[in-house]
Amino acid sequence: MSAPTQQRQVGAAQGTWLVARREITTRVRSKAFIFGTLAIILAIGGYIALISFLGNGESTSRVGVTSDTAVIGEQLTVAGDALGQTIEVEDVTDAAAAEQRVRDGDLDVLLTGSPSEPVAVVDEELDTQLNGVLTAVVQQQALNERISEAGLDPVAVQQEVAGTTVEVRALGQVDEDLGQRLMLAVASAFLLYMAVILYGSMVTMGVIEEKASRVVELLLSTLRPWQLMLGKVLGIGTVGLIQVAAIGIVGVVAGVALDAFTLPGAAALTILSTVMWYLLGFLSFAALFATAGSLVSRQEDASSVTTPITLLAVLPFVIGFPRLMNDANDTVSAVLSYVPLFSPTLMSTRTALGVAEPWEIALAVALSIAATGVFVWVGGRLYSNAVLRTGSRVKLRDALRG
Amino acid sequence: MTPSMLEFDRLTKRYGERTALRELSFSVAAGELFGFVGSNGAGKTTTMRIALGVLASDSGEVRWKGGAVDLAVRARIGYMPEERGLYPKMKVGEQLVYLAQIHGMGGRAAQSAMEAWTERLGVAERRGDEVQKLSLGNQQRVQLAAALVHDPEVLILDEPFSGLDPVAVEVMSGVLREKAAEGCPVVFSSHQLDLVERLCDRVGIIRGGEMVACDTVEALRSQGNRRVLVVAPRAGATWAEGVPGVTTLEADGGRFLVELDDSADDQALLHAALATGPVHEFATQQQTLTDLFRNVVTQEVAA
Repeated sequence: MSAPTQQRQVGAAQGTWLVARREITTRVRSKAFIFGTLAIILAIGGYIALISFLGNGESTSRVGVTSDTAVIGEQLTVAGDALGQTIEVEDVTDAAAAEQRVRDGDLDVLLTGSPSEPVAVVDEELDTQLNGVLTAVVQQQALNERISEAGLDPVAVQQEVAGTTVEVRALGQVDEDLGQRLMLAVASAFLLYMAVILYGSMVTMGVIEEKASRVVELLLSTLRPWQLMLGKVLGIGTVGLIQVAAIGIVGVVAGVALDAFTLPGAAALTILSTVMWYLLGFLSFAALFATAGSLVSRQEDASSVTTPITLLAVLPFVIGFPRLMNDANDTVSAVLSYVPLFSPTLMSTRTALGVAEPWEIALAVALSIAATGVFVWVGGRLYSNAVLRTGSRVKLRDALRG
Repeated sequence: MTPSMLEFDRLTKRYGERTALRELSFSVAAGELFGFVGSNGAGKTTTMRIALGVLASDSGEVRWKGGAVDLAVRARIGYMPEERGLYPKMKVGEQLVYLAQIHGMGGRAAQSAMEAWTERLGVAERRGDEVQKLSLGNQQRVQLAAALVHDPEVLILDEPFSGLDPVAVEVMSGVLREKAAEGCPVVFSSHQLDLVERLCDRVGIIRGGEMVACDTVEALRSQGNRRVLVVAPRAGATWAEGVPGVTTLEADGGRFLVELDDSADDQALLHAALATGPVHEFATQQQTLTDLFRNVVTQEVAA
């Protein structure tokens, strides 16, 4: 009667791609996404601009000296240079007018009094660093006077003192990049945490939306549950990545343009490993969030299943980080760094600290990928079993058994 | 058996202690409109969900053209779930294209199918609107479009008529007839028995997870006892009791509704009526599906 059934079913990869594409297109075009991203970018740009503005303002200090304190002024410039502070010294003749300039903020400090007992006139309070430089200069002044009194030449003594140094014999090599690598690792761990909280709950909401709106019944009649799960995780992951990348690029460009920081060129490998751990971490967490979503059927119940996962995301910061900062070779942290969900944070930090062997990294990566696969599979199973049990929360055991 | 047949073969499903389906079997031929009726909780939705793989049966299977219904076959089934489901915040057009695509349609074919069905079902001007912004009736039309957009070979619709206005009921009926004429087996459930009676080639009545009657409407009607309405103003309340095989169901003044079993002779009944005086009306009453259904459901109490 009718033509034989055509084999028109979607392939496994194609089905997953269709699901992911739907997540991406519907979310990226939403007003919430566009305005949210713009708001964050503006906030970050503004923050960086503010920091660099404040930083520039404080880098030079203007000090006014009277004819009495001009001696200190000379030493002040030298001492400031030595301590990495630019100090502009200006001779003033009219002390009263100079005080007015201090009030106006034109001068930071006005030095009056005598070289042995100088008085620093400031608007509100003396800058800590400037205070340090001033004190050092005044103390040196006092010391010089005593040296002169003892019949020695202050300049010769100073040169002799300056010439005495400790010879350093290093047994190991200095790791100059350690600081930068560690900063990157910590920053990425924090970024991952933020992404997990933000986009992870988006995955849970998406899963619940399908169950609550019952569209899942249509979807499951043609897609396998794991395709739905994986597609959702990849789609929302991509949306997250787009947002994080947009924010990151704007942040870096703004930062470099405003001279807030420089890009560490040597840390390319660290950046690459950071990105890899970010992706692995996000995927494993998102799969877990999807599984959580399949256990409840109402948005109101979402937090009861997502909170435990959020706690898992915090755990490395509470347990691992303090121990690692204390002792890079800490055993507890080392063991935890193999465990999926913890490894993205802890293994990347241990790699940055230079204490992770290549095989350890490989093992952690393999375990993390395996765990993501298991989460997706279990989540899909729970999802299809829990679909028709709307209402109360589905017990994990019931859902698994089906 | 013709190969183009949708077969439900001895489906059994238990929810814990409760048995929802007990060895339920029926089949729907290609081109046939099959109406599925039964009280709430009788097992209609469960049966349909099993066919779509949303539920797994404990035993028995559903076959299409002799082969078990698997994911490849399900991609060719148009399904309308009892609990309507669409993404509330997705636009009508995009949603239908997406659903067509996950059923294996190419992007361009999906787009033109979406355009054709939204046009046909009168929601063309709502393509760009989010589903949640549509009235319930229009959401229902979109839901039907979702079941049809991938050009299915088989239609399984759970309560497709519920919540529709008379115009939409006509549109829906037309579409179902058309799909059946194209050679699709069409299975749908409904509580609107007059509609089922008018539309369906065959009807299945399900009770407590078992098929209690399954045949053409004509055959089902002839199955029951005949009923005759007699209007004889001068007849006493017990005039018909002397006729063998006749039971009086209702007596209201001179109007009597009597039931005749297989042994009864309607001519003997007419003579008995005339013996009481004038007879103004003597009419065999067609049993409606509603009557049949009521009979079947009351048997449930007896059983």
